[in-house]
Order: sequence, then structure tokens, then C-alpha cells
Amino acid sequence: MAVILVLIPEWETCSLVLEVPPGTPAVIVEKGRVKTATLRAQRNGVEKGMKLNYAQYLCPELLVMPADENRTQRAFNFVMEALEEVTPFAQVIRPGLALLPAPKEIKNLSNQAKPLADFLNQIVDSIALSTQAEAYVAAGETCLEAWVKLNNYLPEQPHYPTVESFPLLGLTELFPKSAPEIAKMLQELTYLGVETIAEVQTLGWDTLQTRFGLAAHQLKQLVANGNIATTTSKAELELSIEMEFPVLLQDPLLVVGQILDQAQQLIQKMQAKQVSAQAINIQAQLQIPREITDEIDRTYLETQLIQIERSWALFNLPNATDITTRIEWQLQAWLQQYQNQTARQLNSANYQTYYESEFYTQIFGIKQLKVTATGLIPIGETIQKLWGNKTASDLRAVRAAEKIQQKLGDGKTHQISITPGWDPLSRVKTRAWGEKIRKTPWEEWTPHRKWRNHPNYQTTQTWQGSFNLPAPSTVFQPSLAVQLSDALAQPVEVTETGLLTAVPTHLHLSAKTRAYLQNQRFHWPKTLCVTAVIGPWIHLGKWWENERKTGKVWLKITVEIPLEPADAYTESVPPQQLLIVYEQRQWRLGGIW
Amino acid sequence: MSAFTLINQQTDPATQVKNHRLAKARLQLIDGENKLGIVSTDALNGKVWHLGNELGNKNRFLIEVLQTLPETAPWIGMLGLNDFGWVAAAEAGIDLEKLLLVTPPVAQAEEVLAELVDGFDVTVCGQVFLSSRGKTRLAAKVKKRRNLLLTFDPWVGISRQWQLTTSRIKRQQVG
Repeated sequence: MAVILVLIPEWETCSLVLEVPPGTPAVIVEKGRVKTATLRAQRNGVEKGMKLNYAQYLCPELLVMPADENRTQRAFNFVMEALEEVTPFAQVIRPGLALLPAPKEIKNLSNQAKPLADFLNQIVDSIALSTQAEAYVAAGETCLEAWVKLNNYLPEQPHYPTVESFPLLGLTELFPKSAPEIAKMLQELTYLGVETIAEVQTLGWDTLQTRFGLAAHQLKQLVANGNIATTTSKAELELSIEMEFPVLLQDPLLVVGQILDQAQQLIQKMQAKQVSAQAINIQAQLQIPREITDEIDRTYLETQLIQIERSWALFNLPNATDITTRIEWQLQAWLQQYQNQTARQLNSANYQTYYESEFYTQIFGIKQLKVTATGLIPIGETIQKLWGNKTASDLRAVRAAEKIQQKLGDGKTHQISITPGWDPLSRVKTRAWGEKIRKTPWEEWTPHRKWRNHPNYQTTQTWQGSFNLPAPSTVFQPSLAVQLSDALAQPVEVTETGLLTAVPTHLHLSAKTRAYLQNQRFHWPKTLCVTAVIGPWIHLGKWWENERKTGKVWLKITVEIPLEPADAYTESVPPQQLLIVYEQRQWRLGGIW
Repeated sequence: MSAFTLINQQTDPATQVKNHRLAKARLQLIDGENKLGIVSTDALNGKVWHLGNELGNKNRFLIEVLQTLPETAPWIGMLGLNDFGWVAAAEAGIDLEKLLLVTPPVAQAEEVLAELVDGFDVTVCGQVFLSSRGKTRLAAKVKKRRNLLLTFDPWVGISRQWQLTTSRIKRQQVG
């Protein structure tokens, strides 16, 4: 499945900007040194790694914040909110980096494709509008491909044309900081001279796994992620934990122990079922107060329950602490967000009194929590993927196909391949199961470089006069004899220049054609009214042959199918679109859309 | 009797409007469900589905169904298909590499279908004659394997109608 990665570079700085009042110089300080500084602070001369004293000397009104992982996470919630306006499936990988599956409609992932570009622009705009942060987005068949593309977009970074040439150290940023062993492994491999993904692949995964264990497994999962994602698991493996709080929860720190305990249980369940998860989904039910005013301006406080959820992507086998910290972050983010929202909505005087009172603790807080492990992969299937190149379901299908082939003998099991060509009839090639696709030399033939680079050379015109509409879903092989006639009941012919002699208004089916169509459940009368004609397309044929033999003219016509009396109360038949071919001085029915 | 009631329903304009609105609302609901991905594999798997009793082009409908399956690249086994537009299927994003087309002699059709159900994620049964006992056996196998079996004809008492693709119905009715 295609994925889209959304990266906001320097997320820590961005989160700082979101948290402090706009235009304030602020820094995050770690161990007495500046870790990140806002743009305003940088203008005053504050730099990364500078001592705090010096920074404060340079900029006296500097706002100093301690390093806090929770803040970066909380602030990223704004970005996720923005993403949710575009798609409901966004997941957080780490603060600053989000992943979302590309919509199914987008098939073409090249940079020039319009729908993809539109979708990506929408994401960037949405984030820019709500957070003013500059986001980088990239789409790829796999997570890795998208990451490589994303890195190519970043300014002042070297460009890597292929995934294989991407350096291993560039992957460090992709993994969450909670997994230091991966960063360590990548560092060590680089010291040893294994610098790119291609080199790791030639090294072999088994060697790596013996040396680095789980970390190597995770790297392998990332590099081969495209394959793993296709193995979906079955229903009974839905794993979740549910928690209900008797008193509304306002501070997640109070229940860390409880969450940790539940997370442990989730992990145990996963181990018992032999599955690993690709994401966890956190759902919570939150109770918030709402103020309502009646006709005579009396205000009441009403409580409202809302359901919120968020997904987190996991690259590695999760452990209980991992899950707990994520839940904790998420709950904190939600609580803060909704508290702000309530504050804005309620009358300020009311809010003050409520917030101080005991009453407020009874009406605001988290009521229920549900954590589900989603995207489950059976560990067994992953391992099969690790050693061979096939999943369990692939093997099963191949085995079944071979069994059928043995049972039926040759010529009964077919595989289909599509070759380049002029029309949907001639582009289909069948071959026996397991046979390799044979390519004829002309399929790979390209003109000499001298001619290819010539300004007049046009790649798009290799199949001159080819049929380039969407293909019909029913194709008759061989095509069926029909006749086209105009309003005066005269047969329609094609002139030497490839034009029609008259506008066709009726389509006549021969008895044989009608019988065949009836067999295929097209219960059509003898004569059909033509309501629209598109075309003709002219395919000239080979110049060294008699033009009567290979030349063809294509038409796409729309016909009305009248209802038979018996069918009067059934669903009406939509008008059918037909593909009509003129070959060897005869009209033939080629296909139906 | 039933014919009379049907006519009455047809002629009453108020009922007609109501029905039309209901149908519209239903379609929107299904469409929304599909877009959000609420319809899961589990709701479909383990059952026999037939492709509607409409008068339109069944091959078109089959391509649309295969296109909207929640599984990304399933293994598809096909049997008894005539005049199928493979180019259209490839254009719809169906992986032809993972597709097997079988043309067995009539007597062996049931056996081959059973093998296909065993091994393939999705099995398509075109125009094939099967005994009712054979159909029951196949349905049991599908249920056990939790796979998908699509048929062109309704299997009486076994199959249910595929209703989850909305695109086509929508174009037709809601416009």
C-alpha cells in the first residue's frame, strides 16, 4: 500500500514557537546549554550549544524553557488535528513525523501526477493554516521509499536517486528516539563500512540478525515493509484493552501504574497469539462541560460526552513502557486541548468559578479508555518473509495452483499478461501457470540514441492510432458480426479517408450474435437505437500489407436497451456503451463497457 | 395479490418520493462507510456472494467489486469466465500476476473450485453448472477458510447479494 510521510523539520523549535506567545525569543535549555532557539532568539544572536548565561546576556528578555518531551508531543497534536481535516487515517511515528496511507484513488505515484500533487498540497496547506509550520511531504510505495524522497526534498541535503543508495545513518531520524539500539546499530554498521541500504542487503539479513538481534529485525521490517503490509490477519486477532475510570480522570499521571499493568496484559495477549502490531489505536471518551442558554437568558451547565481517537505507528515489537508513554502523552494532549476549548467557550467569569470549585472535577475528564493493537502481523508470517521471499498466503496459492495444474494437465490453467499494443483485444496474452513472460524483441526495442535524442522524436507516438480510452470490461474474442444503419435504414460505411458516410442511428444484431449475447445474459432485441457516437479512431495497419486486411476503424457508441414487458418493474437497464470495430469491410461488436 | 400491491406502491407518488429519499439516504450511508473504511474484511470473508441480479454488464460489476476489496493485493482464482476484459481489470489496479484463470472440463468444475477456495483469497465462479449439494459443500469450505467466493448466479439459500459497492448504483439512481 502506498504511504505518505509528513515531516516538519526542527520540530522541537516549531513546538516551542507554538507554545510561547508569538514573537517571543525563547530557548530550550538542556544541561545549561541552549538546545533549540526560536527564530526571534536567533536574530538576537542566540545559537545552538551556547551557554545559557551568554544567551541571556545577548537577549535579556529571553524565555527559558526546560527540555520536555511531553511538550513536543502535545504541540504535535495541533498538526495531527490539521491532518485529520484531510484524512482520518493519519498516524504519528514520532513528534514531527506522521504517516498516512495514500487514498485508494491515487494510483500513480510519480511526482507529476495531478491528483497526488493536489492531495499533497492540501496536506501542506492544512498544516500551514493551523500551525504556520512548514511541512515536507512525500509519497512512496513503501515507507522507506517515501522517506528517501522526503530527504531529497529537504534543502541543503545531498540527493539520492534510488532507495538503495540511501545512507543507513539517514534512517536514524525515522525511528523514534525510544529505540537507541537501532541508532547504535546503524552507527556501528557505518563504522564497519556498510554505509548504504544496498550494502546491507548484500550483507544478508541472517548475519545481521545474529549480531544485532531485534534491532536488525526492525531494520529488516522497515526495508521490506512494502511486502509485510500486504499480509493482513484475521478477525479473531483483534486485541484490545479497556479501562473505565470511576472518577473522571484529569491527570494521566495518576493512573500510570494502572495503564502500565494493562499494557503489559496487551503485550502478553499479543505474545500468546504470536502476533506483532504495526500500530496502536487509542480511543477515549471524554466528558466536557457545555454552557447552554435558554430563552430568558438563564445559563445552565450541561455535560457532553465525546469520543476521540488517534493512531500511533509502531516499527518494532512494542513493549509495555512504550505503549504506556504514548497513552500518557496522548491523554495529556487531549486534556489540555479540551480544557482550552472549554475555557474559550465558557463565560470567563463562570470558568474561573467552575475551575476553582470541586464541581469542575466532577464534570471534566476522561471517562473511558480503549487501546487496540491494529495492523496485526502474525510473527510466523513475518519470519517466513524474512527467510524466503514469500508469505504463507503466497505459498498456499502457488501450491493450490500447482495442484490444479497437475490434476487438469496442460493448457487448462492460465495466467494473463498485458502487452503494449493498439487495442484491448490484441493486448492480452495468456500463458500457462508458472511460465515466464516471454517478451518479443520489439517490445524492448528503442531507436538508436542518436534518434532518441533528436528533438522530433516523440515517445508517446510509438503506437500510432492506438485505442486510448479506458478499456471495455467485456471483450469478445472473436468479435461478433453486427450492422450499423443510418436514419434512412441505409448501411453506414467508412470512406477512404476514414470518415463515416452517415450518422449511425440503429445497430442490428445478427441472429448468431444475438444468440451468443443471450447466452452471456445480455437479453437484447434485434435492433437497438444508437444515442451517441464517439470516434472514429483509425488504425492504419501495416503499410506492407493490404490495407483491407489489417486496417481498423473504432467507434464507441451508446445504445438504449428497451425493457421487455416482463421486466417492467425491475430495475431499469442503464444505457450500454459498445465498442464497434470496422474491419475487412464489416462492422463487428468488439466489447461492452 | 402481490402484483396488485406492487402496482399500488408504484402509483402512489408520496410513497415513491419517500422510497426514493430512503434509497438515497441508504446510499450515502454506505458510501460514507466505505470511505471511512468501516467495512472490514471480516464482514465479507467466509461467505458466498453473488453479483446482484441486475441486467447490466456483470464483468464490469466484477471488476468494480475486485477493485473495492479491502485487501490490497489478494490472490484471485477465476473459473468459467467468458469474454472478460483483462485490460480493463489491469487498468482498475487488479494484480494480474496474482491471478489464475482455470478452464476445467465440466465434470471437474466443483473439484477445481474447492481447490481454488483452499488456496486463493478470492475465488470467482462464473457460468458453471454445480449441483446444489456441491454448492453447500463449497459454502462450508469457504466458511472454514474465511475466504471470499463471488458467483455470477445467485445460489439459492446460500449466497447473498453484494451491496457494498456504491459507485455504480449511485451513478444510476442518485446521479
